[in-house]
Amino acid sequence: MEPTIGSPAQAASEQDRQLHARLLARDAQAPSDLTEQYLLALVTYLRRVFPERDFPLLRDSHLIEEAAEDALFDLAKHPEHYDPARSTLISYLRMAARGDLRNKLQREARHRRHLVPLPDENAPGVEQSTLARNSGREDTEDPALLEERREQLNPQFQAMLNTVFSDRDRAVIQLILDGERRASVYAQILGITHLPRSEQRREVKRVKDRLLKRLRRLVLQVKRDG
Amino acid sequence: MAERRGPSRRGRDARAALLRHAAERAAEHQFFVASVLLPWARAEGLDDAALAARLGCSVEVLPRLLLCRRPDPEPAAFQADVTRIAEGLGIPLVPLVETLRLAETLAALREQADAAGGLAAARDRESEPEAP
Repeated sequence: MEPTIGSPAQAASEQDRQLHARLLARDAQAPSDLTEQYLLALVTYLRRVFPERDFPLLRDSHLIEEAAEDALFDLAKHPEHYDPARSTLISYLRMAARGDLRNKLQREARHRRHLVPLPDENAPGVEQSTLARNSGREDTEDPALLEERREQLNPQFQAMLNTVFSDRDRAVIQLILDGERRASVYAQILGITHLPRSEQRREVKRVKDRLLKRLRRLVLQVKRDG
Repeated sequence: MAERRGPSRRGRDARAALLRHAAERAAEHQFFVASVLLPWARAEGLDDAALAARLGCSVEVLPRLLLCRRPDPEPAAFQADVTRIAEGLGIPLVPLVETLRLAETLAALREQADAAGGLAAARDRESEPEAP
């Protein structure tokens, strides 16, 4: 299970549940909606977690896009694999896409090893490039794991988030972290889709500004308290 | 923080390119509409613009159509699935039904040909003398 902000076992939003229910009901349009809604966010996430500077195999390849697509296709075909009570949809998809990308990188590394023998067969993490291993970084583990750890906020901070923010606020924060920019998506979470678009945008901006301001204060407080 | 009025053109282009790539790969999965529609369009020599024109939809909507679940072959379910897709994506129903039926026919023929080819290959293998 992938940790998410606010709670390590944050349940799915109502929007997630509805989309999942449509997939289970074999709604013919649901796979398309799923892909449209999450593909960009997944690709953006994978690019952040698997940067090309650390994974040269990703240069001039579509491995990231394919890993994101495969995660979405698998969920579209097997929606029963996802349990909305255990995690948000994006968390589930991230976890699936990360695993798939690691496998793709390992396969690609094996393939290239046949072409150009690597000097050290026991190098940690076949998906790590020679460049990455020689970068002088202290932790030579998979950067995806480092990213996971970064997301595993320290318990104190997590507890504060749970106390300070409502479920709705945490869902909005998760969207901000996922790089979601569409006001309409935030409007759904906030339950203001009945308002005119201009008012929705204003309200979304107000809520995002407020949450970011409070988050900044919390971060400062945690730093101050050590 | 400045509020964006919507995705930038670059963002829209990136999203569209990703969806198109996904639709292309969805053609490898029989689960998706892409697996029947794209081979048929290629056989007919239709590019995206021509396929969209035939369906009466925009090129932008095409990847979303291709990423829908392939309609159930059972007639009543087929009609219900295609109607759902047409209404959901704002595509005219009649050309969509006609095109998907044609594409499904081609797919069925191709699957039969593949099966026949497989059988013929198996027969050939059986009739080959065993290696000493």
